[in-house]
Amino acid sequence: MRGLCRFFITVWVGLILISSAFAQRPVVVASKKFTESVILGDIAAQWAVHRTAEPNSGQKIEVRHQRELGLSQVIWKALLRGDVDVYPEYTGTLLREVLANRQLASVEELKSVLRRDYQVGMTRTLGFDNSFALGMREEKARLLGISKLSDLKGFSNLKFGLSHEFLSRSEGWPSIQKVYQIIGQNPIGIEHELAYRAMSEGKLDVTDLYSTDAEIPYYEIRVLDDDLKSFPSYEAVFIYRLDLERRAPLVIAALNDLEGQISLKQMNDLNKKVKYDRAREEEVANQFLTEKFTGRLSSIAKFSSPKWMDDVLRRGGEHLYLVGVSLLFSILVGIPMGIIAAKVPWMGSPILTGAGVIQTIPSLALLVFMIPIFGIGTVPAIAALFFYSLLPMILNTYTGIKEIPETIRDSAVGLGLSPWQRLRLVEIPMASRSIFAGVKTSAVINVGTATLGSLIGAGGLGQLILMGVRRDDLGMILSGAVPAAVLALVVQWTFDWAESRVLPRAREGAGR
Amino acid sequence: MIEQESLNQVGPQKGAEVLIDQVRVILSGQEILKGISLRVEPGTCLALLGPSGCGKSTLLRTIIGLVTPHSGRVTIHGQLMSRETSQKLRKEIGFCVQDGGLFPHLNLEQNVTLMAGLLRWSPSQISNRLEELLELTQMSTSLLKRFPNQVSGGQRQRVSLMRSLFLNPSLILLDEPMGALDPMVRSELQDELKSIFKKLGKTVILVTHDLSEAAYLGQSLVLMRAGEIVQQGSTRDLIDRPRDRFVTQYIRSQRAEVLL
Repeated sequence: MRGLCRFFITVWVGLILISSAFAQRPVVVASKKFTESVILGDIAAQWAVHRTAEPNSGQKIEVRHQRELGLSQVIWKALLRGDVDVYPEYTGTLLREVLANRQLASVEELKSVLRRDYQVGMTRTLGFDNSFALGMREEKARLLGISKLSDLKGFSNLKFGLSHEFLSRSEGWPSIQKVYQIIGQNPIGIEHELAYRAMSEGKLDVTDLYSTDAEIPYYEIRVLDDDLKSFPSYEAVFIYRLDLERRAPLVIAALNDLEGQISLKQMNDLNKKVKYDRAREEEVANQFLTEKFTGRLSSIAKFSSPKWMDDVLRRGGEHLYLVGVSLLFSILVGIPMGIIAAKVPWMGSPILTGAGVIQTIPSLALLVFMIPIFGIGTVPAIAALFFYSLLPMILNTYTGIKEIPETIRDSAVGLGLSPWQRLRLVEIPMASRSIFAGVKTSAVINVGTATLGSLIGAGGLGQLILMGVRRDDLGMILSGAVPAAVLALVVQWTFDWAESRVLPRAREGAGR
Repeated sequence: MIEQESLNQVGPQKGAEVLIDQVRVILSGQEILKGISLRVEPGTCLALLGPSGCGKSTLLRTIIGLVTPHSGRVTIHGQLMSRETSQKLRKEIGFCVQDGGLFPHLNLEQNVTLMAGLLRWSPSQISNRLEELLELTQMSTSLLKRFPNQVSGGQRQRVSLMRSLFLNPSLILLDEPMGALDPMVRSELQDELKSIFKKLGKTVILVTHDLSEAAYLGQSLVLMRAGEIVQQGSTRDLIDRPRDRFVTQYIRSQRAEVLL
């Protein structure tokens, strides 16, 4: 037993050291899960890399782009917690969604409240206002002579198809309806992405949109003028943690460089390049920066070709960390629970049922459940993996102890061993093979499940798979999937090897 | 030859008296023992006989406190076997289960010396005791580092006996000790057991379904059926003065008259 413990502790300390070396805290630029945000994140990250890589910068800072995080609240909390340092945001979102309960009146007030109460800085506008708008097909609008929102009033037979978000947000449909007195309309709820298509097929006449949408030029949409100024403004800005002033002032300088540099038309164009020309966000961002800041190309170019092997190694390190830590906790909790289930008759059924129920939750759902409790990043992913690996651990411990032959139990009692001595000297050693198999099963399952961790910002090899899927890039998918599979095999082999070396010689059929 | 005195180095332990008084055992709604009363004379060997399912093993398990009687009591050496006293009393009882019950993850020596080690015997005490028992059970020292599944069934049984004798108990309980052995080994081991019992003067309760074994080892035989004692007495009593037809049938089924 002692040998077994020592082996585990060594392996874990090793794993954690190795992976923490990979996971040293860089400056994290984050983006939300839609194209524009990812492009802006890439622009910020690349420009920050460029600025901090200047010869006399005196700073060696790693800048990372944490892509495609969930909702506004998730990424905002991540910023406050320090998981994220910078992300692109819109003033309207901050005023009306993130800090809605502060009832702030102006952008100036917002800026000072962010600085004072949240230690968060905000750049000036990047140059465009991505506000809500309503749009119609150019052809239809021309036919009916509609160019501004107040023109809609007279047409009660137009079909409105609005996104669920627009329908529910106070500054969306409820406000528009009141301000422009659009009466008698019963808009249907529709996915934003589908609305354009539906409109081009004539099934819808009016939909909500974001003024930077790539679809506006593509589908020839007329954006109706908000003549009564009902929509709040959604100026694009970067917000960042003020501790960057100390940690990486050049990153803030880089963000300031970008103020006023992107026009609505340019953003529209960048979005279209990614969405319809299938360019990668990094390339689009890189191209934009190159055109904007000619003469400062060298280090940008370097950024655009990330070292493949480094990426796989770093993701692999993160992956191992997720698996290692979650497994450690599930051993610390699962084995004692398995023992209790086996030894305390009335506890057996509730423990096994509980662990079984957790196992039936789809792994993705379990990950998402963790967000309200632990936020985003590594911690919720580890928590989810922990819960996921409990069942094999509990069940194998339970089975291992229950399967000890009755004659051996009787002997142990008959010898006069105390319950604790029986557990320590007989039951756990005899169940160790089964317990070990449980650890192995959990480890292998966790290596697979951890690929989902990237969905909530935990990184790992799944990030490569996700990006590959988003970009339809098979090579990138494989660069995540193959190492994950190899890792699972390596974990399996390591455990098999350890099993033959370390376990007590619990030979089958003994005493027969 | 072993000296009686040297075997008693861990304190003189003569046979204990065992009293079983109106013991009823109900397991999962079934009455396994229906009010058994029995007295085992100190220093004698009592054989519990009967067809399988008659409750003889349960009676043995009740004596060592593995089964708690529904009513009635078991007294060993004047001490009542109960939840509170069981841990202490078991150290004075040697218990051998059917297949030896050796712990497969410990080698033979570790199996035998486990309890003494936990009770903080000195290493020299342990090795002396081990020597004595090796001689007593005719085991060879070279086997001690082996694991239970690396030795024969007869050797496992001897080791189990060594383990049960290690703390020099006053009562030895044997549950079908020869159950799985082939006839040659069996008779050899029976011879050894008989001489060991004689040398040590312990009280022994032996569960067996083999009449000849019971007759050979036991001074007194108890024949059980369906949770009750049918007849108690010497082998001759059972053969010559059977209490009822079941006794006769049981004896005849074992073809024991030929042997006796």
